[in-house]
Amino acid sequence: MTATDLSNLADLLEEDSIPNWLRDQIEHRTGEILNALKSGQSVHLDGPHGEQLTIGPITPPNPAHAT
Amino acid sequence: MIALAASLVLALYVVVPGLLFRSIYRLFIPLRIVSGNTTEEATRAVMTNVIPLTLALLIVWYVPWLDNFPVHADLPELRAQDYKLVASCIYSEQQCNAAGQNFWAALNRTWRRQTVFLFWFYLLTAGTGFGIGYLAGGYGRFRSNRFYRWFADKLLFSRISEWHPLLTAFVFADKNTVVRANVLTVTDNLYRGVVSEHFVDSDGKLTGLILTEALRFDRRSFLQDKDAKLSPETEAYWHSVPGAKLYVFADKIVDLNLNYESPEPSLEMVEKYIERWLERPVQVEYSTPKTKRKS
Repeated sequence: MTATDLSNLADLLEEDSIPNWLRDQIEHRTGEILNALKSGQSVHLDGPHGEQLTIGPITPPNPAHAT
Repeated sequence: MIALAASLVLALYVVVPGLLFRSIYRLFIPLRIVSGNTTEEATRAVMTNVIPLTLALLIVWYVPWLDNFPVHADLPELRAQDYKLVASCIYSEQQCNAAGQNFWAALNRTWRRQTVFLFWFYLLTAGTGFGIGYLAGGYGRFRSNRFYRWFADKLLFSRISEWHPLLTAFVFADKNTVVRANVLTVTDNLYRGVVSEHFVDSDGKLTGLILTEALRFDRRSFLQDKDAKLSPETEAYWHSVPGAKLYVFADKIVDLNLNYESPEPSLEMVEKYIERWLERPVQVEYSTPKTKRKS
């Protein structure tokens, strides 16, 4: 392999290297997740081995701490 | 006599260290993944021998105590003279006869010095093999370090067969990462499964791979149902392949679609994937039974 460095290939492979259950749930529940985020709510996803994923909207910075 | 001496020198100073280095290096990483032509292999062999050779020379010349281990090698001031005498006696029988007992005394000192040198040379070669093997085998763990990345790209893996990083968890810090493949063959069969092993030839070209948990896609039934407007669900057309392992010859592969599943991905990776899929920034909290991480 000379056309590209191994590091570039490694970075490429590592992208999206996530568990299958997570990929499936995100892809199948895209609409539900987007609706929840639009209304400011979080969505919880559970994996087969006790994994837990919470997807929430970005919290705006607290104005009290702004300078 | 000269040929015999040259063969002995070649074996002791080139062949044995090379074998020693490779046998230790391969404990960490398969040797076949690093390909290259004869010149590149020779250059790599020289490079890996230069460090232990230099250090061994420094030890036997300058380090007291260590320069007489594991055997005693005395009269270092006669070193050059002894080598000269031994070499001339190997070259000419007449000179050997003329030297008499001096030759045997010089030969005795010479083999002792060389035993000391070879001891340290082999030990340092083994150490170098261990060190470089450890660095090469830990690529997934170390590659976040930019100095290591440069070292790996330019020296350790300048000529790596691309199939090893593609078909194994080699580049991942999490060695439990599973490589899943969808394989389309020239006979228009589509298989999917976990890549459990792959094989390359001496040039690093893929010759075949073994899939476990293999499924075959029933394309004929799928197309029939599709034509009959039955709105088929594609998952229902995947059927398991009899046998625990499916060997696919590389020359029968038309297309290879690869997926990497890390059981414990980094939070950053999860967040990136979700943001890319949803096309908006999100806040993610991810936990496994062992860990809890929040972005």
